[in-house]
Amino acid sequence: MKYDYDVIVVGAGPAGSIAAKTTAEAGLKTILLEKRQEIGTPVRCAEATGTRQEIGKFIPIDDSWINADIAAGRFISPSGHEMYKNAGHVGIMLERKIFDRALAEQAGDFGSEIQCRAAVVGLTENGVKVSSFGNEYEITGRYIIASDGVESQVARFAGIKNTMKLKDIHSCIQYLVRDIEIDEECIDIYVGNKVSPGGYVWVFPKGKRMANVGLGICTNKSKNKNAKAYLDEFMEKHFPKGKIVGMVLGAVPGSSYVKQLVKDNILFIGDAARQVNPLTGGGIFFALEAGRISGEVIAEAHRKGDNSILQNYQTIWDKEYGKLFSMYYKMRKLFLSMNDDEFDFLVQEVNKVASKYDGGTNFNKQIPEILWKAFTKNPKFMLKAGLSMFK
Amino acid sequence: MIKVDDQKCCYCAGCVPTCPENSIFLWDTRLTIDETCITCNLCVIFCPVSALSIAEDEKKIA
Repeated sequence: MKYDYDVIVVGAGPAGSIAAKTTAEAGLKTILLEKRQEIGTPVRCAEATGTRQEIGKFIPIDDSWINADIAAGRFISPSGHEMYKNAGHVGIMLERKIFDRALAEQAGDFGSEIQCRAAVVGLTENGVKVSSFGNEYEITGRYIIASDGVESQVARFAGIKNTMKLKDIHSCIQYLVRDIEIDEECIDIYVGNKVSPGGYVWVFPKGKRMANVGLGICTNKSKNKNAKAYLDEFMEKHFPKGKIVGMVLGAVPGSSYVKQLVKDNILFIGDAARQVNPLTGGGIFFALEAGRISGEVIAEAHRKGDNSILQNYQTIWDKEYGKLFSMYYKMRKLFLSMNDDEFDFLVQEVNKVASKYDGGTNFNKQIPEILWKAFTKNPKFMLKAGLSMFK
Repeated sequence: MIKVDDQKCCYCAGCVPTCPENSIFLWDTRLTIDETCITCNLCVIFCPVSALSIAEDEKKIA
């Protein structure tokens, strides 16, 4: 069988573009398909991600897609208790429109082909069925990478049930707001069942007097009120004079990643595989990682002519991130069960404990530990936390 | 059947993964719901801007 391509990547978000870059760099004939006419728009993201160092491993850092450097975080509880932590450089704020394009261009620079407005509408025996400008045609490929986002169709075409329960998904909305008083280096997180049931409100700096103000709710916990209504209420209270110059919506997975990351010659990565921190909703770093790992595994399988090697992607991911995800998922379950008094308590306790931690690049791994220490200060709370682990 | 209010939909596709029948598809900026829809209402509950609703004729039957 002569294939059109070695690798077909479905979806040109961060995960897909890094995967395409990785396989193309390894000398595999690669095509990156994007169903939209433009890469990177419309954005569905709050745009906060890891450090310059972490992101720089995947693409040379360029200030054209960085809006701000994050040095601090502030948690605000329902009664207004604050926990402020200045932790040095903990992350960056991206301009996703430019970042996503740069990542796809990088894949192209390494030799990957790119096709826009080419939707994958089915799987064929040896590849995918593409619909573009009214034409339907087949593209054949040895390996398929499904990076087609939260609405992943490839998984469903392949017979993998990836329907998300309402309790495992955040209904999100965000405004890009100008002319507001913010700390340009600090991310603010508001928790509580009145402001954002089952999620949180974020105020992430986008530069001078500008921020992404958004929230995610768990629609199981909201009472006949949509995400937009909650955000409008928050805006009215905190930024009544802010000018809304943009709007972003979307679903953010709040489950752990899908159990099956590989099926035959198809590898699932990024939002399509729900590789999103279920507690924080952060997914860019994991998407980039999954893109890299899946690409490397395919390159190895191809080099050795052994498709059983594709399973290594699952093994590597489970080993590297399995524990982290299950811990965050358990913590999310606990968060979903918390009332506003408990949020008040937690923010105050975390405040005391967190001052002992240094932050920095391991912050993601320190958060569970910090929270755990705070939990254990209150026996009743600890019992509740313990019980939620077994639910 | 569920219908889409084009005036409200911001084509975020967040409803797509909630659908147990995979009846929803986002074609660029156009959300379509096909006849496999079982009117389970999950997408309606999920939508951040309430752009989805049960079609009027079915409401009467229910």
